[in-house]
Amino acid sequence: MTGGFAELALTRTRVSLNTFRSLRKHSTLKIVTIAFFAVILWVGFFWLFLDGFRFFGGEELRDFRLIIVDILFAIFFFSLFVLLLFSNGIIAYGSLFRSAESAFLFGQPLPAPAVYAYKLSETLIFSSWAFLFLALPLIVAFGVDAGAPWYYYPGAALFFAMFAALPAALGGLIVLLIARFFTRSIKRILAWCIVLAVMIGLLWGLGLFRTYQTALHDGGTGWVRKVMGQLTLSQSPLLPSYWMGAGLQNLAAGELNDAAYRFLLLSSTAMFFGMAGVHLARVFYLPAYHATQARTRRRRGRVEGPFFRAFERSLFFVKPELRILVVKDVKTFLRDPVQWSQVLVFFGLLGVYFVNMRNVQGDVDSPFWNNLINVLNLVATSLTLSTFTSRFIFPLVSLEGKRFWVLKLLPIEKKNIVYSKFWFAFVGSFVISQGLIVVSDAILRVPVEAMALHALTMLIICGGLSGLSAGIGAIYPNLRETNPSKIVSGFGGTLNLIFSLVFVTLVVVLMTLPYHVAEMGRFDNSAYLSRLIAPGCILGALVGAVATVLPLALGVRAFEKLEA
Amino acid sequence: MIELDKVTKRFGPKTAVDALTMTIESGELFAFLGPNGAGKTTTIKMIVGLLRPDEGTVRVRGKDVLTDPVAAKAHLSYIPDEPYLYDKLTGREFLTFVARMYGIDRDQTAAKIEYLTEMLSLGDFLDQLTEEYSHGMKQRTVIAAGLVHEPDVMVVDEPMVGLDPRSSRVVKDLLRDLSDSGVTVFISTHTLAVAEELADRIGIIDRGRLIAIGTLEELYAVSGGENGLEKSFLTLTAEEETS
Repeated sequence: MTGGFAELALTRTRVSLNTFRSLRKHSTLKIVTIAFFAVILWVGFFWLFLDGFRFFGGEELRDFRLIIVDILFAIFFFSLFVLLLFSNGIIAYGSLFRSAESAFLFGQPLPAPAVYAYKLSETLIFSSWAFLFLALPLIVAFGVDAGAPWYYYPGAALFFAMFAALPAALGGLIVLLIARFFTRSIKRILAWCIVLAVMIGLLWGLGLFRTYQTALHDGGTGWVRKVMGQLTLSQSPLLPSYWMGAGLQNLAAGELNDAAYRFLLLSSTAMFFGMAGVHLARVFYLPAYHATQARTRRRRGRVEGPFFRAFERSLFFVKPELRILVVKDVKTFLRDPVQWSQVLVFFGLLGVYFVNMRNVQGDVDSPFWNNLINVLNLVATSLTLSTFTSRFIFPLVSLEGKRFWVLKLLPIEKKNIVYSKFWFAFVGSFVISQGLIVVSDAILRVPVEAMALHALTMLIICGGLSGLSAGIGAIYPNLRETNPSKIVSGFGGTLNLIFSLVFVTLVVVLMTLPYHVAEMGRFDNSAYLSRLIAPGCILGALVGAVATVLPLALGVRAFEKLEA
Repeated sequence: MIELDKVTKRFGPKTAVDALTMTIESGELFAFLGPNGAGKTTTIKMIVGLLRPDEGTVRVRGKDVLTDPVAAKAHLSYIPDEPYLYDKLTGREFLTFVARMYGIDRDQTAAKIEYLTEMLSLGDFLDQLTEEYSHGMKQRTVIAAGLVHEPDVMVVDEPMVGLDPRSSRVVKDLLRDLSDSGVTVFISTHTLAVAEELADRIGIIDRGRLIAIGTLEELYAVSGGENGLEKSFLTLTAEEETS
């Protein structure tokens, strides 16, 4: 049924080997920088998890250690499973139905199940490696803390392989069935599924939080039982995430029979869904492929919609040609459900969290907590913003790819193309982040001067993050790649993310920390800190100006020299 | 042999191909012409099984492309207008991969590649990664991949795009030779001169309907016996527009 799969897998291996060999052509600095930050990040996660496990193993919590590890594993692997399921679903859709390779393979005398199995294995690797990077430090840290025997480590690798294979098999199967039986845009359906899942998760999280709040006010230790009651879903023994977490604990404790039982549960379920997908692919894959190729597109209006007209007019402060370019980027963004759904999820979560701060009003009335939460909200919004600019703005210049000749031939100054990316980022991020910060400030009843300080900080952060992403995106374009995820995961994307994180930290610390720490009123040197507010703001603004202007200037210079 | 029987394809309210019926015989070189958006690529995609007809059947050497796709594709070769190559494979690795897909053994594959390299002048770049190729190099590599399994039916979408005059001559001679040796060659093109020079028969499609099919002489007759495919093409498509 899957004849040809071996040859396809062999070719994929050859492609990977050639890619690895071609790394030698890249600069050593690039490889060393990426490796350095990857190691730093991995070790950072590892120490964080190890420290956490040691904290739970301390005198005070020793009796609860097993329960806490149970809960921690259940929540971690449950969340990971859900993320893997969506990640696999989205990547499987592109890989099975939209890639040029699928069209090429269907031109070959290959049975549909072979193509399906091959594309699914590719999906598994693409969608899981980042999660492996996240899960591995936790698994290793647990093993080290628990003093696990040597076989725990290879055993854990096998567990993770099956744990990752299961959502890939299930995600592929779901996408196959949706593509076969639903006539609406599959991309749109997937996007709404993500939004729905996040909202359900959010409501569950809020319910949990309220239970915790209410139970805490009631006093006693009843809160533990109540909170545990809310977490029973993620601890259900019927869930693969439970088999994974419990299996790892069995392995670490040397309970090989139980570990083997859970491993078999995981692997047989993964194989069941994998085999089901391959068998159904024989009947459904080609018809589903045909359906996705023939799907009619929604007809857009011939004239500009009122929204886009109003948006263009709102950009009165930039040159007319820049406005047109920005509106083009906004249209592209809003018409791709995969893009806007991710932004909606990220900022929607923050918005719901800010609005729900009312529930903890009593706790945030004290100056200490109030000021701490203020700073944390700013940090959360800014970091979310940095993921937005890194994920969506950085690849914009690269994504012009094959359309570059159109842009380069336009009778406009070339620098305007890079500037248009900056303005798109700046306007979008400013509207969203300022809105969120105003909501946060209003709920926390922040004084006017703090509101002004937050607004100024966010303005500077928006400018800096937009400048960094647009500028570095133009310095390190990847015009051959059409997949934004792959563009972002390259050297330029990594560099941009690191600079963005450092920039956000610097600006928040310089501009807001002196004020809020002074306002907490808990420290003797409050008067001294108050004197640091103005210089901190000036320094923060300077850092912001450099982060905005310098990468943009370098980006423009690189872009003007670019030959595409 | 390619047989299309009352093949219809709709995209929502638009009928891209409307009850198309035609048969391309073995050893025939058939050129498929039509204005932009007439339904040429849709027809080709249905012949090679990338699109499913809403009505009608497509057969390649008697095998239904939908119900028996693997058997039909074993005899078929498709060269799209935008060729797909694995960026991180060399041309030789790509050709080997395709040959293996068709079940050709290693010794035969090596011999085939040597032969095709000579014929299509691939020698200078065959061992470089395909990401370094120009459009013309890619096109020649994909043509070689299409020939590696000695197909009985060859479907080519815009064969001359991106080729220099010498490569273009090589490809034209190759298509003619293939046809003379019994291979059914179906080409879709906008270059009327190519159709005029190569085709045994020409079909013209407009707005999804086959509006003319025949030899060059038969099509010349449409424009009142005047020689020149361009005249016939414009007359036919203009008639269609006014009707």
